[in-house]
Amino acid sequence: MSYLSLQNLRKDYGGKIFAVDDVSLAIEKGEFVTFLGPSGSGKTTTLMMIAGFEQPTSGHIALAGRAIDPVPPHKRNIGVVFQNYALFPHMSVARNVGFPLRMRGVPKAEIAARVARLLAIVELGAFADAEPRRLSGGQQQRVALARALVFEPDVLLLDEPLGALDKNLREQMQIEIRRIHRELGVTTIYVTHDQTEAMTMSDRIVVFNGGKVEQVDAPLALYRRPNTPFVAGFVGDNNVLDATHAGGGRIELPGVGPIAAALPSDCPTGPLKIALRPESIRLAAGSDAPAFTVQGIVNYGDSVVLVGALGTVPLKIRLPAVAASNLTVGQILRIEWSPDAVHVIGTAR
Amino acid sequence: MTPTKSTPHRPDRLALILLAPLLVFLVVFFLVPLGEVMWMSITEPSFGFGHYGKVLLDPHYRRVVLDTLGTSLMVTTVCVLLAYPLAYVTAQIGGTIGAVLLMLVAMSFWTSFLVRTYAWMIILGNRGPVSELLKATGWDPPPLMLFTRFSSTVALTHILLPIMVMALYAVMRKIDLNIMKAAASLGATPFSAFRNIYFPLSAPGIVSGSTIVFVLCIGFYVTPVLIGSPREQMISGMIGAQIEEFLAFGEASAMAMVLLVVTVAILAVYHRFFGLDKLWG
Amino acid sequence: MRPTMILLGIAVAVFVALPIFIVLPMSFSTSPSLAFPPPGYWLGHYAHFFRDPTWTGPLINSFIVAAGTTLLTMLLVTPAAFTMTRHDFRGKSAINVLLLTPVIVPHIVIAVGYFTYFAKLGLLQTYLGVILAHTCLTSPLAFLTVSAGLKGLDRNYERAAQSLGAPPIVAFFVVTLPVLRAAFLVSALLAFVHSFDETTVALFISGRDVATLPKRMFDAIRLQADPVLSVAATLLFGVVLAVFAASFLRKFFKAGVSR
Repeated sequence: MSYLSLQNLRKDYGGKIFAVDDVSLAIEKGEFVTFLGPSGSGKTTTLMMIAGFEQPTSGHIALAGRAIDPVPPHKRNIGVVFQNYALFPHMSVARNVGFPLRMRGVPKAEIAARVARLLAIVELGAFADAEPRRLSGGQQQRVALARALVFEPDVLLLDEPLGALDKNLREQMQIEIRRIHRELGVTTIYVTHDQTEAMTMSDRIVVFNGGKVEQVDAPLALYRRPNTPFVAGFVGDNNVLDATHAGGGRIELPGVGPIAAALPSDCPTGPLKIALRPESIRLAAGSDAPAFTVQGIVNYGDSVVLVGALGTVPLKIRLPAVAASNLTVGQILRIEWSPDAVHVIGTAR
Repeated sequence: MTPTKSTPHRPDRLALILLAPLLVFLVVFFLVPLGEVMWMSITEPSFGFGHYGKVLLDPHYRRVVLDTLGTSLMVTTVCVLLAYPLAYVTAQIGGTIGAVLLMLVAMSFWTSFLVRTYAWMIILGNRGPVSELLKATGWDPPPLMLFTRFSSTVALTHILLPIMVMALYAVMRKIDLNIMKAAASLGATPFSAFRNIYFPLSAPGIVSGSTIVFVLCIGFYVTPVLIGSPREQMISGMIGAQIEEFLAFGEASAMAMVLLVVTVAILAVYHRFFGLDKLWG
Repeated sequence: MRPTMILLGIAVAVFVALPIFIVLPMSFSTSPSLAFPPPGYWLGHYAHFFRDPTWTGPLINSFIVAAGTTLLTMLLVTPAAFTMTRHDFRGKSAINVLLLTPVIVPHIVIAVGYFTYFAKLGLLQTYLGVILAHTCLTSPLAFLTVSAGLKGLDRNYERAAQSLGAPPIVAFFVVTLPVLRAAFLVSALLAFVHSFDETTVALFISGRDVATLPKRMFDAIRLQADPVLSVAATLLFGVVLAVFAASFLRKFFKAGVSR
């Protein structure tokens, strides 16, 4: 049995719509799992049910083989870092970090030692007596992390913890959180709507959409083999296209004709959806390759995204900046891609 | 596995336990005495609706009701006329002067009705500054100002003015001043910009301020009793007199009920059109 | 803005503030009647006031009543505000109306009710009676103030405390109360001032035994123009001013702390 298991969790707020709809998950000890999804997808509600702040309408949560449904939040031994940190403004940094130990009746001397150790880990030893509001956003973040870790929780939950930070700080904190996770090995669930964050940090990613889990996978597998059109579109940039498998490994796009694709052996025939990453498309040398009409050019500096159409099918292409100089709107380009780049959504390979 | 009902660890019983004391308290010590007033108005000294007939039809009582409404209307109107420029200046000017003006208003608001009534007794008294001033201009002996409808109107206006200012200020503070600049850039003269833009935007403040002031005024006890004319009482003064002097609980209660019904009716109309939650700004 | 408008506004402000500047000097006046401006100044009326038990008694009564009212109001209102801001249930809007009725009903109306109701209960002319009545009158404002504070409070503070091992009650006293102390303080001060000033209901139920300062003043004004009245008025005003100064100092102090 896994360390933390969610069984058929549902949550509704009296209406017909489920905020969380039949979510089941198994998380192993020491894992770093990310809940990824747009706002309103149920990821935070699921997190709050694990923490005990929300009651599931139905379903069960078990931690280390023990059902924790009837356990109130203060007895669950689960650390939570909130989006806005929720540092107690009337307590110093050290008193904030020592709070959970005081609540557990830990002797004073031991509290001091453990607080000092955690503050050292988050590299804030010099700020023990500071007031939280005097610290920068990143520092407050680390205090919140230290506070949620000092009592050696069974699970650490982080609810969009980097949402309020600017981009550079966010990257720095991602590395920091991973380092602390490696050092302490605590089972961690991280909630975010930022797919890059999820890709760089996680052992596994759980993609939420509309209250349901769309896919659970390692970051690279998720990127390469999205199971649903939603995952294909949400994780990384993608072209999700309607196609037909006529049989015999031949894929056709409506209005375009057959295209290069290596299909898995279990691929069903009939209409299906395929995903083709914009960056996997190249300019072709020959004149018999498919023709792409450029309708718009977006320059990102290091790369250029061309928005246009393959026949009547809208398509996005991402080219390295050097390959895309001298392009103009209205131009017709010949394009190609490796047959492996075509992923049939819903198939295992 | 079929979904099963999980056991919530925090029953909503706790929410009820927290709410119940205040509810029970208000029922026992507010609603019940209020019901007592209603009950007395039809049972004291014997059952019947005679008191209501008397209160609504007797010319003497009708006079009191009309005087009360008239005075309250007057007070409300003057309050709007005085409060508007003050609130306008306060909202527009901001800064230190705005803060000082606001503080004066707030201080006046929090000064007891009694203290302010007493102040007007001094100001309008026969040896007060107004009389002295009139004497100096040759009006000797000066007119008797205290214990008239004039003095109670002045004092009530002064007492309720801060409330009107606060109601207006709450609305004016939210008016985006760029709107006026936009109007000017579109060719409006300052006056037409004020009349067509600022005034309509501030109108909700006038409505809610007037409602509060009028409702408070018709039920005001202390000031009219102390400073008003004994011959032109207002409803609340009459209610007090019935009890203190004549121990006529039935009549006093019937009048109190009429006052309550009028108050609730005005607020209900306000609620119907604007929503009571907007009344306090 | 036109200067005439500014002048008009300031003139009205002077009118608003005027009485305060009349009452204060009067309390130091040497005149035995209500002559203004006073012919001379002394502290005689203050000495008179504080030597006269018919004045100091009501002053003390007012403090007792206001303190009791404040305590009872906060004890009743705080838990109720929690439920009303944190929970949704059927009949909530009806309860909201009930909680706010005391501000809608004119004081003279409920005073009539208390006069007979408290007579039956034996609460007329008792501290308890006045405190119970005043608590009804102060509760709506206190409720609104505490509720506003709670609505503005990030629930994550309490959640954080609980996730860190604090039971809900402990979380309230260790986190919520300190974080919201401003709202609680303001709400308590409002209740205190409101009770200390309240006249109409106190007139009918405090009687001679527990007469509050406003009741004593009201009676004195009705009887004769006694200059000692200005001392009482100044004290009534002084209490409000003290409350103002306290909240101002608190703000000032807070501004200083947060740089």
